[in-house]
Amino acid sequence: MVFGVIKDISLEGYIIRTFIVGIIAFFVGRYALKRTVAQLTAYDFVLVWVLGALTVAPLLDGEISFTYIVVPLLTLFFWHYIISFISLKSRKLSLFFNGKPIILIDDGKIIIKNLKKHFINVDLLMSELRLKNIFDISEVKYVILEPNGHFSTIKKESQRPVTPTDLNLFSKLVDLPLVIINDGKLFEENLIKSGVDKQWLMDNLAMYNVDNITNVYLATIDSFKKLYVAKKD
Amino acid sequence: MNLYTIFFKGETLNILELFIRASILYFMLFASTKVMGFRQPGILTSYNFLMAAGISHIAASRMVNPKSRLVDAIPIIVVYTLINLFISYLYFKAPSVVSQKPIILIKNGKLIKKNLSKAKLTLDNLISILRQRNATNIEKVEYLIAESTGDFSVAVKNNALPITKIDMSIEPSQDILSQILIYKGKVDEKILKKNKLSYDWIYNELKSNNIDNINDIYLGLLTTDKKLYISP
Repeated sequence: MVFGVIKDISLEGYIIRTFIVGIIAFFVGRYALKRTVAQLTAYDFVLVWVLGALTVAPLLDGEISFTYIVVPLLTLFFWHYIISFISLKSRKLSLFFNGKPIILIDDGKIIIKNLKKHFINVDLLMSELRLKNIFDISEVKYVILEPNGHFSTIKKESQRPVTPTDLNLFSKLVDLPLVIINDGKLFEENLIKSGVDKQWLMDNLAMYNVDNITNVYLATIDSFKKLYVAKKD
Repeated sequence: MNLYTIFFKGETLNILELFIRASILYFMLFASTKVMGFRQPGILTSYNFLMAAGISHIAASRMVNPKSRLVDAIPIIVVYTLINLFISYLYFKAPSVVSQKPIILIKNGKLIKKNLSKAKLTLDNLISILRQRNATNIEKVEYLIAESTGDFSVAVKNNALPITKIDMSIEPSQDILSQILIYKGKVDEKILKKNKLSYDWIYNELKSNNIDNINDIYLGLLTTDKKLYISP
């Protein structure tokens, strides 16, 4: 007595339904969203909330059977897919569905018209700036309200941190160190990628007083062949 | 298909009827978020959060329950949206009535005990917030403010901040806002005009990149130093 339209559903029926809903919720979450909740724009937003409410509906009333939620779920996925597809094809429609970024401060000047249009008062603007570590509004060059409801801020040039270019310094290239040992297991392909061999690794591990790879919890190597080693205790 | 059961209550719904019900409600909710504006997805206040949870439940139950009437959902969503707009308007016009004020928790490196209990934070919470905001040394914190949106802002003392260009008296070049100028071969004339550029400038930039046809460009981005970044 779990499936179908049930007038008086028993406690056990609800418990079994809860397990099934849990599994459905997992798959809905797995396939519905590639973006994180913070990145959602208007039409995604509708989807997330309604999906959540729909998925749990069989737990609210015994008369709501699983077939009643599957069709609306698929319908929502269908429309969402259609809108995503249109957004990729046409920029105009994409801006309609996803929304346009709105400039709130342009070159240091507050655009009052845009603030009013989106019901943002000065207090809220200041508190959003504070969250971006800007306590003095005169330091800001641009503030943009993004379609996902977040604010992005760009400081005036003179207020930005000094970078190596300003001082004509050469800086190390950004590189992602490769993991070569993870929990005592050696990754040979990363060893080859960094152009070293196992003998080289063992020689260098000896400097860390390690004689066996299984004693290493994590070892990474960067493009300058610099090792980082974390031992197991 | 029975038009009556789509809009009013019935005993059961078939697949097509469910599809139509769900579609109508989906587009109503979409229109509703569109009207409520951008701030909705950002969920800036606990109030926004409640509104979103509520309205989606109203719609969802109308999609799946054959005994509920779709015609009820339509005015509910409209009125709900209007209330939300009204409260957003109040936030704008009279913030003191609807929203909480920011609470100052640390001022000049000193804890304000009274405000800490007002914000319902324990000392452990406080230290954890400071760590998350990269301010591990409480002595170096000038201000810690609990914002009305539920987030926390931290100001560290000026001598603990990175050196800025103005501190070193470096004269920086003036930047502009980076924007999409060419989107799949189409030039955005508004942005062109706003930055006082001309088509000749674009063609010159294209020539220096060995591209003769503007339609070959997938993305042309105006960079902060007024150059054209081209991705064919």
